[in-house]
Amino acid sequence: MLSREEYLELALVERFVPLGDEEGKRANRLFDQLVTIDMHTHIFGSVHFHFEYEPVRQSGMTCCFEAVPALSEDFHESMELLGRYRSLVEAEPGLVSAFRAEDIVAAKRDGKQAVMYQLEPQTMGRDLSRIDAAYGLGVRMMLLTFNTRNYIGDGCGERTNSGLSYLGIEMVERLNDIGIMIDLSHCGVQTSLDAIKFSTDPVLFNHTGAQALNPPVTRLKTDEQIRAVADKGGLIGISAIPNQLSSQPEQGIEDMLNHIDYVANLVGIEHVVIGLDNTFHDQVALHRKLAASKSVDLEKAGITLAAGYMYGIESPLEWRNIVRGLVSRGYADDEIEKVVSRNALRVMEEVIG
Amino acid sequence: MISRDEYLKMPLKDRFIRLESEQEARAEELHRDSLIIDMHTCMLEDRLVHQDFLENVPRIQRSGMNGFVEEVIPLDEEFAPSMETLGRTRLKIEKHPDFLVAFRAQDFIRAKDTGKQAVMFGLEPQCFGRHLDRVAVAYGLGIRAALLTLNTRNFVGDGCGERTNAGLSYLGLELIEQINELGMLIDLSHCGSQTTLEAIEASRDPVVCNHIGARALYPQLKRLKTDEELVALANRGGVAGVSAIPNQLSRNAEQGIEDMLNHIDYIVNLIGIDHVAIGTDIVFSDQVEVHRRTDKSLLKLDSYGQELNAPYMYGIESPEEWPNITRGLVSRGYSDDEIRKILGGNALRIIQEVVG
Repeated sequence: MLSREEYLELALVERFVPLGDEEGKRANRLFDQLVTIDMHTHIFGSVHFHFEYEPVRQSGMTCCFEAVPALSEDFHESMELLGRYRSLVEAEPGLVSAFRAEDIVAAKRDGKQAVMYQLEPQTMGRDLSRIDAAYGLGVRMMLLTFNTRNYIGDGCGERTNSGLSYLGIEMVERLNDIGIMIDLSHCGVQTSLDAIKFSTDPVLFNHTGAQALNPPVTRLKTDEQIRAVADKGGLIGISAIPNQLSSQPEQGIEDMLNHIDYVANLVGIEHVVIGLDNTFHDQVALHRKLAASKSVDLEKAGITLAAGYMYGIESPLEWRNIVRGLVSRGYADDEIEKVVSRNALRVMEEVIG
Repeated sequence: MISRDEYLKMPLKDRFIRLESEQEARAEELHRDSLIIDMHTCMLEDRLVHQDFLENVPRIQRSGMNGFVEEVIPLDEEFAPSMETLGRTRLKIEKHPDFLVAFRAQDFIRAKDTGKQAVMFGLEPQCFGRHLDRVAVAYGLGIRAALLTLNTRNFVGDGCGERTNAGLSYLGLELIEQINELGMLIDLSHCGSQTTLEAIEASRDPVVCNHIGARALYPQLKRLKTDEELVALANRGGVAGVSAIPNQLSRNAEQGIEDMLNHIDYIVNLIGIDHVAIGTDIVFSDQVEVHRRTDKSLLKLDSYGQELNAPYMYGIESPEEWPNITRGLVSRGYSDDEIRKILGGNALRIIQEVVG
C-alpha cells in the first residue's frame, strides 16, 4: 500500500474510480454543469489557520460551507476567525461569500466559488442574543455541541447521554426564528433526538456516516437518528474523514459511496448530501496530533487510526471523483444532482430563506 | 403580618428569639467567644441595587461574625467580567482597616484575634468554561471556593433546575481534579442530584453544600438536598451549610429563623453535628425582590420549583440578626460544644483540610 505522499504523486486518472468511456464523459459533463456543494469544509484549516486559494480553485466545487473551528467554544475567538476568513474571501476575486441558496446559484453562473460560514461548534455560551450577532456577521449554520458537553447538550463522546437543556431548547427556537441551520454531527444521541424534535425547521448531520456500517465509531449516526432527521425533511451529509467511515487499513471513495448507498436506501436519496470535512490537509496526522495533545480522545470516540489517507478523495482535486463514484454506483443524473446540490439548496431555501 | 420595611424598623431585640436570662447570657457569651464563619454570603456586591460598602460595614460588624465566604456571582458564567468584579471587591476589602482577605484557615483565626472580618472569595458558579487553566488563574487572584453549576447545565454538570439530571461530564471530572490539586472548596449547592452525587464521589477532598436545606422538609423544591446526597456528603467528610434564603426552606407565607433551625435539626439528626455549618446567603437588599427581578433566563428559579410566598425571613433577614442563630441553637438545646461546631468550627475544619 502506498503512503499518503506516494499516493498524492499519482496521476489524477489513477486515483479516480474507473469508468467506461461513455460513463466517464457523463460524469465529466455532470460535474461541469451541476452546482456542487460541500456542506462541511475547512479550507482555512480545521485547527491551525492555513489558506491557499489554488487547491480551492482546482477542486471545481461551487460552494463550500466553511466550518469555523473554535474548539475553545469562545464566542470572541470564533468571531475573530470568521472575520479573518471573510476578509480573505473578499480579497480573492474568484471567491464570494454566500448567505443564501440563490448566492450559490449566482456564483456558478458568474464562474465563481461561494463560501458560506458555519460554527463548529456554536460558541454562544449562555447568551442567546449572540445568535443575532453571529447571523449579522454571516453565520448560517451552527453545530449545537462538539464531542463533549456544553450548555446546550451532550456531545457524542461525552460519558453521559443527556438531552437538550432548557437553554438548548431556547437556542433551537431562536435559530429557527432567525433562519440558521442546525447541525448535529457531533451531538450525542439524546441531544440529537431532542433537537430534531424541538426544531420546527429541518436539521442536519452535515458530516457523518451510518453507524450500522462501522459500529465502534460513536459519532456516526444510528438508523434511528438518520430516520428522525429524514422524517423532519433534513439532510445527512456523508463525510470523507479517514478512520470514521471504516476501520480498515485501506479506506477511500468506495467507503464514502457505501455510506451514501446505505443512507439513500434507508431514508431516500432526497436526504443525502456531501459534507467531506477533509481534502485540504493530512487529516490523519492532525488526528494523531490532537490525540497526543489530548484535545480529542480517539479511544472514547471508538476511532483507530488504521488508514493513513482516503484513496480517491484525499485532495481537493478529487472532488470530481464523487460524481464518478455516483455514476459507477448506478445513480441517475437527477439523483446525482440531488446529492451534490439540489437537496442542500432545497433545505437552505427552506431554513435560511 | 407586617411588611419587610416595617419588620426592619423593629428594634433588634424584638426580632430576636426570646430566651430565659440564663440562656441569654450563655448565647451572648457563645456568640462573642466562638469563631463564627458564614460559609456563603453575597453582602459586598449587591445584585439589585448598588450599595455603598462603607455604609454597610457597621451592619456586617454587628453580625458578630469573624469571617465569611463571599461569592462573586457570574450568572452569565463569563470568566473575564467575574475576575473584574473580584478585583473591584478585593480593593474595597484590602483598603479597609477592619477587613482582611482570607486565603487559608489561619486568616479566619487571625481575624478573630485582631477583631477584624476575614473575607474569603468564592465563585457562584464557576466560570472556567472549557479552560481548565483558568482554575489556577482564579486561585492566583484569590478564589478559594467554586460552585460547580448554578441552576442550569454547563460544561461540567447539570444544575438542580435543569430538565435533565445528567452526571458529571469528562471535563467535570478533570475540573474536580484540578480544583483538588490547587486546594479550593467545591460547592454543590445548586447542582442537580446526579451531578452532586458524582462530584462527592469523584473529589479527593471533602466537599461542601454551603447554602442549602433538607429536601425532606420541602420535597417540592429541587434546590434542596436529598437524604441520599446529605449522607454521601457526610460520609466523605463534607459539610452542609444551612441557608436563610426566603422561600428556599419552606413554602409558608411566614418564614424565618425557626425554619432555619428546623433544617439544622433535621440535618444534624441525619448526618451528625460534625457536618453542619451555616451559609446564610444573606444580602443587604430585599432578597425576594432580587429573586423576582433577576433575569429569568439566567437564574431560572421557577425551574426548580421556588414560589415567592414569603416576603422576608423573620429573625434572620439582615446581617445584624446573625446573633439570633446562636440564640436559636441555644433555644433548641444544643450544647456549647455543638454550637461552636455549627457556628464556625466545622467550617474552619474543612477549610483547613481542603484549602490549607
